[in-house]
Amino acid sequence: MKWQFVVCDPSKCVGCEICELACSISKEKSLNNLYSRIHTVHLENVGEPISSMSITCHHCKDPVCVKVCPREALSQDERTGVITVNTDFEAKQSCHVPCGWCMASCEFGALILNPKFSMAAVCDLCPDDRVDGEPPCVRACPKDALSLATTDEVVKKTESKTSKDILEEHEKAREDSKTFYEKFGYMPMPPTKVIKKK
Amino acid sequence: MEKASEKMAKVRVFRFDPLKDEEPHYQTYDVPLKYENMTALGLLLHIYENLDPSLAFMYSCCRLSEQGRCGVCDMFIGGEGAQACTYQVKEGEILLEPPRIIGYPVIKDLITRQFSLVDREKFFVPRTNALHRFRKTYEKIKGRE
Repeated sequence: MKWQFVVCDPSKCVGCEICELACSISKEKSLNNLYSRIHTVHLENVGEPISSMSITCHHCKDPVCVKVCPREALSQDERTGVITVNTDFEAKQSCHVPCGWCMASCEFGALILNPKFSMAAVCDLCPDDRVDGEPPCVRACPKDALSLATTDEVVKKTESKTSKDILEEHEKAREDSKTFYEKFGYMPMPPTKVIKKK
Repeated sequence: MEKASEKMAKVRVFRFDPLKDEEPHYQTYDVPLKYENMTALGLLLHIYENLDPSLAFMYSCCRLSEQGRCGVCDMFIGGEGAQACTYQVKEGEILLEPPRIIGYPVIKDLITRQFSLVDREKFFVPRTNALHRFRKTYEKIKGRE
C-alpha cells in the first residue's frame, strides 16, 4: 500500500456532488450529503461561479487533528497514512465527547461530525469497498476528475496552476469583457466613414 | 532544608480576562508534586486553593463520575490537546493553555466557549456548502421524528 489520497482536478470538476452521495451510500447506507467524508467546494468571485472541486482527507504527514485530540481517539497508520477514529464508546481513548477540535483545526475542512452518532469521521479510502483498486467516489465521478495519487504526483500537477492563478485569470477575463463605457465612463465616438475616391 | 528533596513543577498558565486585560499573558507558579501520579488538574486545584484564587478553569470530576469521561477540562498541555484530569505530570516545565483553534474564543483564562453543533458548522466554510443546502431537509426529518 502506498501513501495515497483522493485528489480532484479542478479544471475537470463540475461540482455535481455525486461523489458525496456515493460516499454516504457506501459508508452509512443512506443518500444524504451530511454523512459524506468528501465535500465539494464552490469557488466564487463576486457572485459568479469560477470553479469547484471536492476535498477529502489529505493524510498529511505529522497531522494536526491527531495532535489536537484531547482523548487520543485519532491515530495514523505509519505505512498508508490513513487516519482512523476510535468509535468504541466505552473505551476511554475514544471519540465520546463531540468537542469538534479536530474539525476546527483541519486546514482542509476534511473531517466531519457524523450527526447520527455525533462522532468525528474521516476518509479511510474504503479498503473493503474497492473495485479495480478504485474507491466508490472515484468510480462514481462522471467527469473523471477524481483520482488516487501520492503527494509527489500532486505537487507536480499543482505547480502548474493554483487556485490563486485561477482567480487572477477570471478577474482578467472579467476586465477584458467590460464595455468601453464601463471602463472609461463615456461613450466612444463612432468611427468616421472614409470614402475612397477612385 | 527538609523540603529540598520534594519534586517541583514549573507551571506556566495562560491568563486573560477580557474585562480587564488588553492582551493575554502567561503567569508561572512553582507547585510541589505532593503525591505520585499527580495530574494537571491537581496542579490547577493546588494553585487555586493556595496560591492564586483568581485563576479560572472548569472541571466536573466527583466521586461518582469516572475520570476522563466528560471532557469539561479539555485544554492544550505543552501545545497538544489533552484532558487535565488524566494527564500525568512530570518534573519540570508545563504549559497550560486554552485550545488555540479558530472558533473557540476565550471567556476567561482556561475557559473557552463551546459551540453547539449547529453553530459550529458556520465556522468551517469549506465543508459547509453541502451542509447548508441540506440543513432544511435535515431539520424537517428531525421534526417528523
